[in-house]
Amino acid sequence: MDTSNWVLIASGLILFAIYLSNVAGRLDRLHLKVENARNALDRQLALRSAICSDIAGLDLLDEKLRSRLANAIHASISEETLEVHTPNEWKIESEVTKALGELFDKDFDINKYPNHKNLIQEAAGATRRVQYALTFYNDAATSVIKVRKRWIVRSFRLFGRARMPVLLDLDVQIPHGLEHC
Amino acid sequence: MRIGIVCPYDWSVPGGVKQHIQDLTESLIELGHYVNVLTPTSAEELLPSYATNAGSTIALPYNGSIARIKFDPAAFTRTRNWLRQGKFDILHLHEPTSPSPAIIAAWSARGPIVATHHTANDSMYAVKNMQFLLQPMMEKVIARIAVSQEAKDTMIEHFGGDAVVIPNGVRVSNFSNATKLSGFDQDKTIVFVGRLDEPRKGLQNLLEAMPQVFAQYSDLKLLLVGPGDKQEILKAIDAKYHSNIEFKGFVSSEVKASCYASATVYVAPNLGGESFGIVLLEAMASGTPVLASDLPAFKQVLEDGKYGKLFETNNVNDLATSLIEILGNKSERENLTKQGLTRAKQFDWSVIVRQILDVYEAVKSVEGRNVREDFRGQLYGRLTKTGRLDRRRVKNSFLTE
Repeated sequence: MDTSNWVLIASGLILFAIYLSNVAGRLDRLHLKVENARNALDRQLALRSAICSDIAGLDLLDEKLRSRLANAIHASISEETLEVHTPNEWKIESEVTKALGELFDKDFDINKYPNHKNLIQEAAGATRRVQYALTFYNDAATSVIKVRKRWIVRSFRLFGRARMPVLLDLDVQIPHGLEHC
Repeated sequence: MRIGIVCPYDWSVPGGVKQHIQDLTESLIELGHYVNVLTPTSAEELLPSYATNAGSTIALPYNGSIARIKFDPAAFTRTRNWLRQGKFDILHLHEPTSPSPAIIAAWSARGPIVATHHTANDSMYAVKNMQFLLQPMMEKVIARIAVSQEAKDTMIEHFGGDAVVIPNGVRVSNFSNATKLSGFDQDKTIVFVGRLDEPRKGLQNLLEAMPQVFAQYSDLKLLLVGPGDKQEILKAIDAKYHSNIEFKGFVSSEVKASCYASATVYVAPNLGGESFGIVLLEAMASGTPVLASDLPAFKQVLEDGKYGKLFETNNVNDLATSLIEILGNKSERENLTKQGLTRAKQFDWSVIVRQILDVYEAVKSVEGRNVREDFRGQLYGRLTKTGRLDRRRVKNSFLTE
């Protein structure tokens, strides 16, 4: 082979290496985005527990439903203080969502509680932010999963040591009674 | 909070996206936030104090209508300067897939970026051809908002992933306090609002249905509000009805509110391409009963007919009979007025802006840093420290083994 062929092959390889480095860099940014989104979700869940424990203390609403909410929040707070994530985590947080959904069902009218309007609106905001944070996490995780499925990423292990993110299935329905607060 | 918003279309040309951005900005400013809007415009002297000029625009056919947009090298410099000077906590892009400053901003910035998708249209041909270029830019967007379920479905079809749905808002007080126009009988006036020459607004169907309606109500007035060629419209309908038709042409939003307020019923005969029925909410906020085609977006706003009357899309006979019915039934109209106002209040900007602020809050806690210029991937960035990746890993990360 003469020199020009070698030059061609070498420049081809260099271009390919630059391409691989670009894909790896993009994937790394995506992983970071997923990680940040996950931390944001944890923070929003903790905020929701904090705000809703005040709701559970209001002596205006139905006693039974309030104690159900209080129990759910108690479980979630002890869960959130753990350093590691347990498989039970999502079940516990979904239980908080369900308890809130029953407390603020579709017959709930915020105008009946003028003295606690701010607190209820804050709770509505907290449930919305949990829903948003979960959506943004799943959005980011989907894009990582999509890129990692490409053969070039798998064969060159461009994802390094990062684990494959998982889509989270968590009940984050905004309670009917809080939808327009 | 310091918020930078990018408007993709010409500020001096009225349109749904521009109205959305204007209302959002004003609501945010009312709550005490600092907002600056980067927008192309062909009339800089008309820009409000919170807007920055991104240059003049060119007209391009996009998404079934004419979009006046901006995409040239000078726009890059302006966008970067705006980003540097703004020191924003949040960068909010609108219609990030249109060739406009929105794309340039997505390309030049990193940090907490939010994007709102307005389009619900399958023929986003510009997007289909440019997808491989857009994808890396779209990945920088941390939070995506869609204005309706349809807009969300369209977005997911093209880019995958997920988005939250936050509907368009309406400034109820601007409409509910509107003064009535003189010379219109509030029991005998139908109003249509929209560009007269745009086929997807469905005016031709309304004109086809009108002879049947005029036969029942000979002194009825049809009020057409919006820009378009008068003669073309009059050609489409029998000369004996010409005296029943009034043109308002292009009007300011105050006059538009008065037009709604003076009408017996507002008709929206749209054929498609609507992602959200903001016009319906405006009419409802004015206390005017709504008759609309049963497009998915309209059905959602009217909750399957609870808050307004629906007829089959593109069915002229159904349109005519529904119109005759609603004109003859005063108690139904009174009920719809009451229901409509309740509905409109649920979409008042004071409510919607709180949901948008919740997105900002959630995103801010994702990134933890403000918006800054992005040098990654550029020669300058690769050779200097600014372009290197963040190595700030979180302790006990669940992703790293």
